[in-house]
Amino acid sequence: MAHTTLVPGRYAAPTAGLALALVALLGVLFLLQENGLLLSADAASYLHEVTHDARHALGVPCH
Amino acid sequence: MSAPTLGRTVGDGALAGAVAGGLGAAAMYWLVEPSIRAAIAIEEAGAAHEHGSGTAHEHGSEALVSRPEQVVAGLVTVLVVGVLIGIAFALTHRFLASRLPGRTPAASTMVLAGLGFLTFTVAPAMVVPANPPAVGDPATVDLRTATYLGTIVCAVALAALVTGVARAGSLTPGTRAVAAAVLGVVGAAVLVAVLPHAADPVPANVPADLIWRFRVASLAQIGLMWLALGATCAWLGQPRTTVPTRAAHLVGA
Repeated sequence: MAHTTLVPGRYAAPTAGLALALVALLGVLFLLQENGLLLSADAASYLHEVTHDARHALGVPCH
Repeated sequence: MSAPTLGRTVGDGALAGAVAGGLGAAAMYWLVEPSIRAAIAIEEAGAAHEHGSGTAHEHGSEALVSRPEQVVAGLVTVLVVGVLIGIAFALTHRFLASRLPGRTPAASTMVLAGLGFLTFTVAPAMVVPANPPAVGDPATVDLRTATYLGTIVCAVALAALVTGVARAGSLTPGTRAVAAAVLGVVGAAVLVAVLPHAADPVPANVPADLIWRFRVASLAQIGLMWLALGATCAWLGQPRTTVPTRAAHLVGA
């Protein structure tokens, strides 16, 4: 296997890429599903109201 | 063909996601918002007549976020979600392209967008369909959210399995086509039967017609976003010429 050779670029790119993809998906989860898990109740309900229409339109369960 | 840099992949994904998000926001404004407006009117009429349990959130002028702000912020949210999904999409394609059907990068990009639509949109829409405001019991939101996310995970796993079988080198082309099709149909049927029936009943004061229009508009918006995401990513990811060259060519044509 060519990939077993330790070339920094070869390893860094997939790891960084997958980490970034995960962060992007978690960002979506935060915007559309955050209902008080990470934020305080006030902040969460503000985020809920701000993203409200998008949550409904994108088909995410909402209140 | 040398692989593009990671930054280039992310940039292409973000740009494609912005195109998808922009079109999605436009579709939301013209297709989905009318149903949301009608549903909020029903919700507020209901809240005025009933005792008001306090759990329903406010949409009126005294609300945390005013309606005009809510509409604009909703459109911005769709754009941001588009960019984030675009980045994740382009990175997923970068690492999975060789395992996806399609002979060219453009073809495998469109296949991935189609799989994304099926697993992230159609699958949860079958189990926990989208609802406008005025539908939805706050007491069941945790179960619905868990079912929604679980459906996406199960659908992605099934799609990966079907794609793997469809490309299994140890089977003859005929066998793997049949096996993949059977696996897809049976797997989808099992998932629909097994996953919890978490969808809320539609209250009597919400017309079925409104629900239908809302769901069709919502699916049209999300479908448009996947299509735009795939097409833009495929266009940006084309090898040979650089993007500025192609853009100049298109402008000159």
